[in-house]
Amino acid sequence: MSALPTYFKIASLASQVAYAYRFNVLLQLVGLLLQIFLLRAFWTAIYENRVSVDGVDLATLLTYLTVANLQLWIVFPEGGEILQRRVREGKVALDLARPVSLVGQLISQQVGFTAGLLPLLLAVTPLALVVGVLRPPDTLEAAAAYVVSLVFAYAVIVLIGLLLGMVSFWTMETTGMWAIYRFANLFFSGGLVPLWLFPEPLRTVAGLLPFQTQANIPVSIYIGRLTGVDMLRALLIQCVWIVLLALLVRFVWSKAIRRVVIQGG
Amino acid sequence: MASSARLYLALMGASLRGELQYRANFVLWIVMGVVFQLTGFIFIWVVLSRFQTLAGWTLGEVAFLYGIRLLGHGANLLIFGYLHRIEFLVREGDFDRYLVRPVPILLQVLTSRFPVGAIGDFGGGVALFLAANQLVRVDWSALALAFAALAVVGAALIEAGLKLAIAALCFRFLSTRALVFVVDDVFSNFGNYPLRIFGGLVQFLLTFALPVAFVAYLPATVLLGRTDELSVNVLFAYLAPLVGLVIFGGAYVLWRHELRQYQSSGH
Repeated sequence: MSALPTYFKIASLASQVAYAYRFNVLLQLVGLLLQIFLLRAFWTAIYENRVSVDGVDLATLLTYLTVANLQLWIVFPEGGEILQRRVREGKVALDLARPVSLVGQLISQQVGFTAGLLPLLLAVTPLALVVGVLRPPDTLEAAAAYVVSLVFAYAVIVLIGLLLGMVSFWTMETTGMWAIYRFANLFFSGGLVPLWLFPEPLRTVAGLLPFQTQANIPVSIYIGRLTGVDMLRALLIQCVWIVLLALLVRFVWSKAIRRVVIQGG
Repeated sequence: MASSARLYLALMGASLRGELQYRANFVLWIVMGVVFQLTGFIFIWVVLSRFQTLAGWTLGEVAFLYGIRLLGHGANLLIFGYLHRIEFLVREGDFDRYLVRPVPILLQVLTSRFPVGAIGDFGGGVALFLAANQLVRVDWSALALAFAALAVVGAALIEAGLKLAIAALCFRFLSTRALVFVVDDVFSNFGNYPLRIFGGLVQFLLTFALPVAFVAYLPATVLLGRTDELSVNVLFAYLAPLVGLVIFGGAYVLWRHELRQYQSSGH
């Protein structure tokens, strides 16, 4: 508990990193807006004259896609990439010697980084309204449940990021793995196609993966497609993934710490 | 010209042998090239398996268009894959050493490494194009074959020309990363679709501001007999392969001109 101010300090330092790389972040935001515009044009053409598909009209679907893509951008598992860099450069030795746990440091860095990006995301949201479609949450309850679901989604992605980062204790070259993760997360989270529109074998696969917690569950709640018991079940699925991944992180970390190889230094 | 071609093949062969020293890495890069390109297609496949058509285009027709773009993109990467290095070479001052060697500068940059991933991009293009060809009816006369081949060359030259023009700008501006990013992003995201889905204004911009339409969309409408849907004169579609030549030629002139602006950043 006494380490809390330290973690807070780490987080507040990390929140400034986004501004050090503001040019990169700006480019990412341009890419994000282009992506939202592309999805809007694509899905508008797909819907053609259909009023609604599976009970979802076009404006609701476009809201889903806009929210999903803004959200996927902001919850990127930066912590994992930081860990990978530190291992490769041998600096993880320093991190391990610090008086607070490395996992704690990474989580605070991640939270700080996201907090730093948040104002930038809010700044582009008006533009997202222009290139995409963005309606307010379906109801007040939907808005509240969405926030809860978003927090759960964040917990899942932080844990996945830690797991991916820890892989670098076994192999230093992880570029390919991160590329696969990015695609899998964008596609199986429902960021391009909502999971309810997936064809059958693929939908079952997506239902067994943790990525659905990232866009499909929170944003389905936002647009009012998941309500009542269905919504509670979806939130429960997110919690189950948090518990499973947290146990996995603990296990892998206990193995990883014994494998630390310091490069140079 | 002939001696340049021989030099190119000799240097590229040496680079390829260099890359082949690391067999596992070599295969991994190719696989990543294929996976990266085809994952974009999975999205279209999943949606069209449910909705059948995109603005009147069937899955086979969109795949055909996608295949042409991928072939052009892959061909461009195979030959011009290391154009983007020029920016770093100039900024780091490493460009100096290319100026004192008795080989054309561009040739040295392009052959400095073999772009292994491009084999995957191009291979993915071949696979997608052949698969799509099973799903669509194209009357493959000799003329159509020649048009398709020229369209792919044109597609490669459009991308290469834009990259070369951007590379030429880096002698003055040092950082051109933003331009490279936006051009790459627009070409690889918007170039794969029948452009009519974007509506009049954006379609116009993607034709005349950034020549995305000439890469695959316009040639595909010719081969698939869909030129009726075009909002531009049909001549633009038939002459699409030439656009690459014009752009690349212009970019080369710009490159030669800007090269004289180079000021070494020193060591």
